[in-house]
Amino acid sequence: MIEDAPTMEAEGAMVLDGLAVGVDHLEAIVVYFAEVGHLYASWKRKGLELSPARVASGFVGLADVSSRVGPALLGDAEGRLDSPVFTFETSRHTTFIHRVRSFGVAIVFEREAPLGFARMAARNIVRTLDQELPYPREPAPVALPEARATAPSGPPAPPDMQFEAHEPAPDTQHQARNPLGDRVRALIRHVETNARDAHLARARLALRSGLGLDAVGHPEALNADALLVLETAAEDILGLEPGTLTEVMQP
Amino acid sequence: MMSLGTIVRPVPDAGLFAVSDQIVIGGTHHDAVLLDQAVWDALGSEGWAVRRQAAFDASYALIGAIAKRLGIEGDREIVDLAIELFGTLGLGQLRFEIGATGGEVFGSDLLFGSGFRERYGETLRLRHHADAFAAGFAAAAASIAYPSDWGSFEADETQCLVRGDAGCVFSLSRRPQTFQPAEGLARSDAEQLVGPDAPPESDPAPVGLYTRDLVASCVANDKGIIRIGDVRFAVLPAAYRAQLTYDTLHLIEKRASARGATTKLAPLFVELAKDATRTSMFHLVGALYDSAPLRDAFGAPPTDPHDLVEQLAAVAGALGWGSLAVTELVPNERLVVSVTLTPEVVYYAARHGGTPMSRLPGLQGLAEALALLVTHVDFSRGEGAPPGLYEKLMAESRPFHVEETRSILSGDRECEVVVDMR
Repeated sequence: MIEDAPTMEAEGAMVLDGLAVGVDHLEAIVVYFAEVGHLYASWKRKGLELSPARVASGFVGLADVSSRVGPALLGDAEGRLDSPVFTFETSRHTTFIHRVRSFGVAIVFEREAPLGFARMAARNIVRTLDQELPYPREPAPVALPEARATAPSGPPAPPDMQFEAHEPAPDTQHQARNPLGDRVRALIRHVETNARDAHLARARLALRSGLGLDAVGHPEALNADALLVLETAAEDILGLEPGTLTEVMQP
Repeated sequence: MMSLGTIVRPVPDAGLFAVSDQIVIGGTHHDAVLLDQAVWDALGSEGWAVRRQAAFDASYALIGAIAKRLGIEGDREIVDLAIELFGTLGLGQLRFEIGATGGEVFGSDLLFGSGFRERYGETLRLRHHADAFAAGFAAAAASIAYPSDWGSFEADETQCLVRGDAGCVFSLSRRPQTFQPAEGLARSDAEQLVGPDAPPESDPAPVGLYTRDLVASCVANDKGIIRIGDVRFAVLPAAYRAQLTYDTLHLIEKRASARGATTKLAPLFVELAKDATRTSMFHLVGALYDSAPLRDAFGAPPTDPHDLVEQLAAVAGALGWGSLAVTELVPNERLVVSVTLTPEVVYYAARHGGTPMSRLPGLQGLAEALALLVTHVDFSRGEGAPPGLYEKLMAESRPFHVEETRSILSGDRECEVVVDMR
């Protein structure tokens, strides 16, 4: 059973009200994770009996359909590049389903909406969401040791049990540091060092991410979703291309 | 271009300034960029709609008031008026290629776009819509030039300098909606707040009067640019700044209240809005006070910090911030500034009424700027504030604590702000 109540993601991740302002006949906007059908954010007209979570789960398979049908209709090369838009018509609604990276975006209009107008309005909404929705992280490059030629050698040396003088002994008394917290601290340092208005960096990150100053000041309690939101905010502040913060923060 | 003095007039007994019947305020590219940035941080893509609507409302009221007063009618005449007004106020250049059904507007040297480049250089680029003021202004001008019962024009930014395009282009199309003419912020709003029994405004200090004349003599170049020292100066409808600030603040507070959220985002936005004015006024008041005409007229700056800060406050008052008075200065410890009316007070009272809450981020930022100038800038050396000093101070100093201790919005007879510099 999918809960209809707003999820943390739906309420916290993104506010869609502004996209709906002044769009006639618009009934709902549902943003969901395309592969799994979980709701990410939603807006619906007041009084509308529609469950965004059910819409999200209902359209979950469309991503696969698009990857199959696109090449079949348009030819392999063109079809893989093109991002198809599904139009789903019922007796009460016309719904357009777009794909924005890993997200599905369902935009629901009244059935009476002129089709051309609705299509144009939907495209405008998707264009804005394309700027707003977070980018998937690329996996951090893993540094693999260079392969070495094997050669017969003598017996293996005993493990080195000596700690170098300059290398502090491991701290066994204190709790292990939260790597996510360390990552957020490094991110804040990076923004403070590189932003033009360094004194505003922390406040801007806190406001832009919606997490507030307390969370940014005590990042131990943050989860991976919050880190993603903070990284997106940092990229916006620094004017970086989406998904490149990890790269530029490498020492 | 005309000089600013041709169109900017004082509002008697209020200490404010108006173009036609609309209250205006002097600002800089710092203020324009930082406040818009704060709104974007707070509202994301929704911020574009809030900013553009504020610009449309303020511009519609301003252009409409001038056209009515001068009896200008006819589409081309109104478009020409808008172009001339935009440039004269120091906002840059606009070129309209529109008709009754819409079209395109081309902008160059715009306060926001060029100001963003000036602050951040060419390397930093935005990925979102940027110049809401020019968009709202263009749409308002077109809506007055080509009126229709069917709806007003709306401008979408299709190209922008700060997104890496060669220039700024706005696409105008009609939006089918019930159109309510915008009210702006009229001088009558200020006059009502002053009331008939208010004591007459005391004469501004000589430095203030001279600065007023100096600003009035400013003429934008053919690109619509006015420069004062290192800053780009412009005169903006006060309603734009106020509507932008309070609509954003109220949206944040409403959402926090609806969700029962404990995260305090509203104070963060207020802090950023305050910083916009602090940054802008630090540079602008510093540049004006240190300008050659002022120094030629008044000689070396006073060495007594009390006299100095009073003169700096008089300069700020000449930019449209009201009849500012310094009621107390303890050097390096405390500065108290009071004023009867500021544009943000008039706007809030006219649109939202009274409130027990602190609602004057602009006045707070201005008082902080005065405190920074009197504490950290040695005007006697004739160098004013050296480049980079503000950023250095912000990086090295603890921010001042500023408190709004009295406000007309809370039932007091005047507004008062206390800056704790310790």
